[in-house]
Amino acid sequence: MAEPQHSIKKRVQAVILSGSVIVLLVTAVAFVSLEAINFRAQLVRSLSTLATVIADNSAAPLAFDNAEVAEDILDALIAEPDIEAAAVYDGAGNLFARYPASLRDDQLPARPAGEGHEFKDGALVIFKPVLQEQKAIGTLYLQSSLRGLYTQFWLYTIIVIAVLLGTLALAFVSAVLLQRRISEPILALTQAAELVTQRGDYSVRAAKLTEDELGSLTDAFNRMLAETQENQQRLAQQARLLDLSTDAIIVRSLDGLIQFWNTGAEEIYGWPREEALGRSKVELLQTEFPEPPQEIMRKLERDGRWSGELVQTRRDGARIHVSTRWVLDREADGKPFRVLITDNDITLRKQAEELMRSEAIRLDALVEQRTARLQDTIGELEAFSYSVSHDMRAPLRAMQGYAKALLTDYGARLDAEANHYLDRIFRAANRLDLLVQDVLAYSRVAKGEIELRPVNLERLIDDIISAHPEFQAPRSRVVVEPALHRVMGHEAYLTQCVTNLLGNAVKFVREGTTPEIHVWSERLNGRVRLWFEDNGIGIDRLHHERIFQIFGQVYPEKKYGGTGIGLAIVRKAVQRMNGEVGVESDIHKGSRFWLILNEVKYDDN
Amino acid sequence: MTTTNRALLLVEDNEDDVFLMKRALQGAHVVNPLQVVEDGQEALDYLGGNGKFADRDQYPLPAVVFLDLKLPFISGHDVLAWIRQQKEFETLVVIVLTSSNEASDLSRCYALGANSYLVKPPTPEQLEDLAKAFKWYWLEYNQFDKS
Repeated sequence: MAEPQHSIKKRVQAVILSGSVIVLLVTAVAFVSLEAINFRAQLVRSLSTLATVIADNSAAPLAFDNAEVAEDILDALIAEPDIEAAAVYDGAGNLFARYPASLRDDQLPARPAGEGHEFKDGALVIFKPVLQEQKAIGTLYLQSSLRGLYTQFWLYTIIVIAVLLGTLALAFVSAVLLQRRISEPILALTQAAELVTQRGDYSVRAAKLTEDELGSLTDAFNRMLAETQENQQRLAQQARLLDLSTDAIIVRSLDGLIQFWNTGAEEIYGWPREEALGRSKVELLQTEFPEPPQEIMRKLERDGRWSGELVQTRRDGARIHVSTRWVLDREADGKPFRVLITDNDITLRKQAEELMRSEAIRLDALVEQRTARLQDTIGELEAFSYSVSHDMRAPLRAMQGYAKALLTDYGARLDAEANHYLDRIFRAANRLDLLVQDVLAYSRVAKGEIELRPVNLERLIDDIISAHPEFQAPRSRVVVEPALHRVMGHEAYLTQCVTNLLGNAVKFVREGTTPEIHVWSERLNGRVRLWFEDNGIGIDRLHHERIFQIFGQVYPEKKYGGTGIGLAIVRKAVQRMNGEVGVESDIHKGSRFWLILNEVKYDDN
Repeated sequence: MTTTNRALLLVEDNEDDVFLMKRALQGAHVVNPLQVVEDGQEALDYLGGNGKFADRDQYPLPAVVFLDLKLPFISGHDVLAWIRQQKEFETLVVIVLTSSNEASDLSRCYALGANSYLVKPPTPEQLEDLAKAFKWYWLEYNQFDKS
């Protein structure tokens, strides 16, 4: 790792050293200056004291004008090696005695000055009055060399410099130590950070070297790395999830450049991620929009989302339909900055829809055609049944009419056998007419829309009985229980059903037996069951289903008459009224026919 | 009061039915002259007095018309519609006599202005009963428009 130009290490050293140097220099200068002043003051004081002593001692010789004694006194100064010269002046200012004796006159001041001291020519000179009884009788002069002063001063200076250098050395050492404590953890952090940025490896951790603020910083840095690593893993997982999607997930900037392109997009459009990223989506995929793109962007900005169908081109040139959803991604301040797009390929669906549409059109045409054909058929059938009712019955009436006319007009002239033949013709025609009527009745109940209404069964059955003498005494006995439940039905259909059931009951009896029929109703889970119990010949269980089929007659027509359509009509009519019909019976034990119909729930009456 | 002299007009293409009707009317002792036309066009001509029917002595205007529905050329419905469009026949009694019991025929005929609708009964006895009932109701009790 190259050391940065202004490394923390150097800076820490520089700060510590320059600080120390400045402090030490200022201290030393102040100290030395102070000492210099002190030295001089001390020198003046001691010289002044010496001068006072000598002046006192010189007072007597001067008063007695004894120069020899004065010079002896001065000679005592030999003990003071710094004293270079000394003199005593008399009251008139004339030189009275000198030290050393070899001193020339010009090496001494010619006349004494007033009391005081003075630094002059590298020496300290002092004048002191010689007093006798408080009266100046002369002046003492002392000249001291400053050598001692200078020696001491230099000694001081050397000591100060030595201390300065020592301190600097100490400062340097402590700077180096401090620098290590501060910069090494920082350097470790820096190295870790560089590893992370170079390798993109968030699993790197910085070593924690100290327990101080830098230690906390390292911890924080490592925590941040751990979180980043976790986030990165989560992002990677999410990106993998996005890649699992078979939908194309694309992020594009507001100016249309692709910023994200998942595996789904690669699969749908055939463009690998590296080639798609950074390119314009519209150009890459030659998008055809269902409305002007400006309009789409306007809606996107207004609603935050937009969805629709686009036609786009794959890398291999194939045009595909996609269903697309756009979501606008906004920055924290609400400013839009990119669009998240989810596309899914609906080409197959579109093709299927197209196929279905054409198929539906074909089917519609087919249905229409078939319906028309069916309607034609129904029309033909209706025409047929109309024709049956009208045309086929006419010859039957003619047969009956002529046979009857023959019997009436010529019966007397014909023998018994001829009369019998005519009777057979008459009856056959009659039976054929009944058949035609029943077939018509069956086709009438089988077709057409009916509306169900509340029906009063009691009144309906009474009306039927009144209209048919065969249901009345003495030919038969029909007992209807009072208060029959009201049912939802169709009056004409119900009349047909009841007439047929009563008709069967009076028809199928042993010879010589008077038909007895008991009619009642009961409620059954919100429906009504209407019973018709007779004393007839009964029906074998084997035939209970067959009797309701058309031409399902089980008894010989010769014996009981009937067309074999009556119960089929009943079943068809009951089915049309959402009901059921059935029978409980056994041979020779009479029959109990029942109809189940819906009960009237809300009756206006 | 009995209407015995006024003619009855039977519009019927089936000669068997004409025979049976004549016999039934005789059986019911209806003595009014019975005129018969065999199709719709002839019915219009008879009532309109066209061609040979201009002779009202031989072909008098009837008091009652028995009208079959299923007729050649012009159907009974159309004959009925035509009759009711004629000012002079607005009140003519028209009794539909047909083998059709279809609800659609019934409602159409009444809507067109039929005075009665009778279904041809299957047996000669019943037809004679019908003829008797006709005589009793229409010829003995019913009052015709006198204008």
